[in-house]
Amino acid sequence: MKNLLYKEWKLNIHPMSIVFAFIGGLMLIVPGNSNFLAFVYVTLSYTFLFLGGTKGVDNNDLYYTAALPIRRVDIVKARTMSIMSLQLINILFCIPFAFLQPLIIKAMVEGGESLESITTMGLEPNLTLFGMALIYFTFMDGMFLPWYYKTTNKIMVPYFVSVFVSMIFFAIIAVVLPGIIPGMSELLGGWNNIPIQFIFLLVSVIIYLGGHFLIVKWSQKNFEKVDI
Amino acid sequence: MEILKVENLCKTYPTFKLKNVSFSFEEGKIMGFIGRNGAGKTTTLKAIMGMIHLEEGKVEMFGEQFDENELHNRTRIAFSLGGANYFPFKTVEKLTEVTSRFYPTWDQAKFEHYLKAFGLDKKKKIKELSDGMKVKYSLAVALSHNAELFILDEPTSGLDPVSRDEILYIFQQLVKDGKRSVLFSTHITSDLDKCADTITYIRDGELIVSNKTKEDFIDSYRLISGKTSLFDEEIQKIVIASREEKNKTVGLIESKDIYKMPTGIKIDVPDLESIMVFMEWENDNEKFIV
Repeated sequence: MKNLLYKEWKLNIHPMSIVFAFIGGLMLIVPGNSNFLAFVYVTLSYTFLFLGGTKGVDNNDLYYTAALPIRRVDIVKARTMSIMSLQLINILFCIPFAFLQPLIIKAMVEGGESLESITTMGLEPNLTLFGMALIYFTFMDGMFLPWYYKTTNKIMVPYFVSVFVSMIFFAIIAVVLPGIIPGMSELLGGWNNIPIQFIFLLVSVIIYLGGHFLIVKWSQKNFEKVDI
Repeated sequence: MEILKVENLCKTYPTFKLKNVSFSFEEGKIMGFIGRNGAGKTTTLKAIMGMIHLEEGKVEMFGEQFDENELHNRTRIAFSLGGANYFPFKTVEKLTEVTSRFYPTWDQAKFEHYLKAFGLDKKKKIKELSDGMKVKYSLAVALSHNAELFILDEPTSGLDPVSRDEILYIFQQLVKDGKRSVLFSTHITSDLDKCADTITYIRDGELIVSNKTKEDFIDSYRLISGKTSLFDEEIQKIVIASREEKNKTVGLIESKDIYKMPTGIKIDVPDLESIMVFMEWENDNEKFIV
């Protein structure tokens, strides 16, 4: 597994993936933006991971990997772990920008900007939003990975459908629901109620880890049936 | 010792079927696996490597069931589909550094030696290597992890004659010590003329010949030619395939039938290409009727 993860980072993970993770973080300090977008950009790196290619060239990763002395199940596990590592890097990049956001908003308001025009949409970048990001990642991977590993030669449809559906899901839980469910915004939004937000984050971590455990199992099962 | 034994490999695709493919070969030998494009060569090799799921069949390698000790067995195999067409934007050095980690028996000094011997530049990107160089790179990697069984799919396809000759020469050097074996698929019969000890021939997913020596294979057939008028109904029954060429008819028969040939029919020893062409002709001639 160690060697496979090394291979993922040396051969499969494109440097642009880190850039996407960082751009995600930057989204948190764009005035008037939706905060949930900070966690969406990193999913662009899936195309590099699975299509392989810069310049549209396939890196034939599956054929390369299939010739190595490794088990099929480990291919899926390593790939899922590299995706999870990119997501966690994205979250790490988001943390400083999450702290910066209220300071920037405050400075801009003091500078004469109207609060309405610069306030970000949906939940603030607090523990709840980070927890929701983990649930979003689980939703996205749960849809995409088992679907991809059913054939391994079809990526675009599973990828785009998964991105689209999971983005809508994320927008609903992080932007729409706090606006329409009475009390949700007060309970989980803002910078108060830290203990409740922390519990929400903790539950989200459990969903993320447990969910990915099941996603790996499901994808491995699908991949075992595939003819490479 | 039999280094590889496959029995009754069966696989059905919507437009193609692999039918009871069985063959075996011994260590220290080069086996040429021939057949035209689409005959089932790659499917068979993938089946051996467990890349596709079989409806039936088993694979034994190094004297044991392949999947019983799969990980260890895989360290003893060099498998390549074509040349090393992987990660085209990575350098030879980087790709090798990653690959070597998977092989406990990796010998870096050996790798450096083969890089030099094969004229490979480790700073070059994979996409900058010629097709011949890609095959040599695959072989250098395989030799450096001390592979004993080389399973190579069309390693000479698309190579210029000089590069092809070099690769075939390397194959012969590989098996010289009697410990390594090469199974390579090809549709280029001259490859087999040059280096194969035995031949396995697949047509439409079915083996026509299984692990026969080149000499025995050639000896099984005879090329006949003569005036078209001599090819009467009796001869047509015997002939595997025949066709008119200019003012005569040329055909292929099994050697056991040569005594049935009338006077006036010339009998020659065929080369591998003629045998393959007529075998395929037998199978395919209908579609050329215009």
